[in-house]
Amino acid sequence: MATYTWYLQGTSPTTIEATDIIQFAAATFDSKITVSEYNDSTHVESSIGANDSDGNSPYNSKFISNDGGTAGDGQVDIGAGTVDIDTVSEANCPLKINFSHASAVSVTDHIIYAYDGTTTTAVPTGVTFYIAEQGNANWTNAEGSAAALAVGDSGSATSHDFFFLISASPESVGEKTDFTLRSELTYS
Amino acid sequence: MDLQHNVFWKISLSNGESFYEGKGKFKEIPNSDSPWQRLQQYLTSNKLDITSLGLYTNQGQTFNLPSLGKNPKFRAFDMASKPESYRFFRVLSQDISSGNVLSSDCFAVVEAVFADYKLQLWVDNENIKSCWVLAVNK
Repeated sequence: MATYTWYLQGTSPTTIEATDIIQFAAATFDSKITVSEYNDSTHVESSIGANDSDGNSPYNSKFISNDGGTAGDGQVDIGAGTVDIDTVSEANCPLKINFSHASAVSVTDHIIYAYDGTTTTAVPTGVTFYIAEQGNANWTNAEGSAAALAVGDSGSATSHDFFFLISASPESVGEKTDFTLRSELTYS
Repeated sequence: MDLQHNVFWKISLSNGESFYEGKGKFKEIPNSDSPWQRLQQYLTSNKLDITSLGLYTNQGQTFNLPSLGKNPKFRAFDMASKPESYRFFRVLSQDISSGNVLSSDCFAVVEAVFADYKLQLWVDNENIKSCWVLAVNK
């Protein structure tokens, strides 16, 4: 038996259920991000449009730059001003993915990226997407499987946690529906 | 998302033993090493090699890689290139979509490693009658 669970971290974590989506927004839930700007908040939205992460104070990671920080580090704003992305702790990363298995397994060849929801090699439509694993020095513009972020391997254990900073920017006006986040991993 | 495995490895060893994931010595034991990891330990401690590796389901399907067996049914089996080593793993994917569907796929994979390439046999954990073969450059 294996279990794969996505969380939006905050003061309390919000489990991203099977019919939920991650909503990138401006300052508040359902507020629109200006074209070419990045998310000021991140939420879990249910299939009926409810704010599932309301009350959990979900964390946010806003892309600032990919090399403007110390020694060329990428930069992020997690709510208290611009910092190098490699200074963000696991606890402050918005996205957590847990992979659990009844017996101990090793996890390798883990990648994560965004695509258009139809063809894994295609970039999301009308969205610029960045992701970084906790501890990375720079963001990855992970659009399409060929540009995926390679996640660090995880040694033999029954539970594996992975932490990510995520950020998105609309390239045009309108809700972006051809935009899917995908994770692939190998275990044995 | 909870995932129940439906496709398992089966293996033959250089001392003539055969084992099946999920049965006997290599059944899954919660909080212990996985059956595949325990098999690797067994191979090392007993100085054994894998002579054939395949996949099976509890519904009776079997999927086999080229083997090192010494009793081939056909000449073509005897003349075919022989793998240098074998590997088993599972591949899991999960999507969070703006279309409100969090979809997931899992495949059981066995791999035969040849001098210049790897031959992989993928079986869908949810559609156990479906199999794909990949040739991957080393």
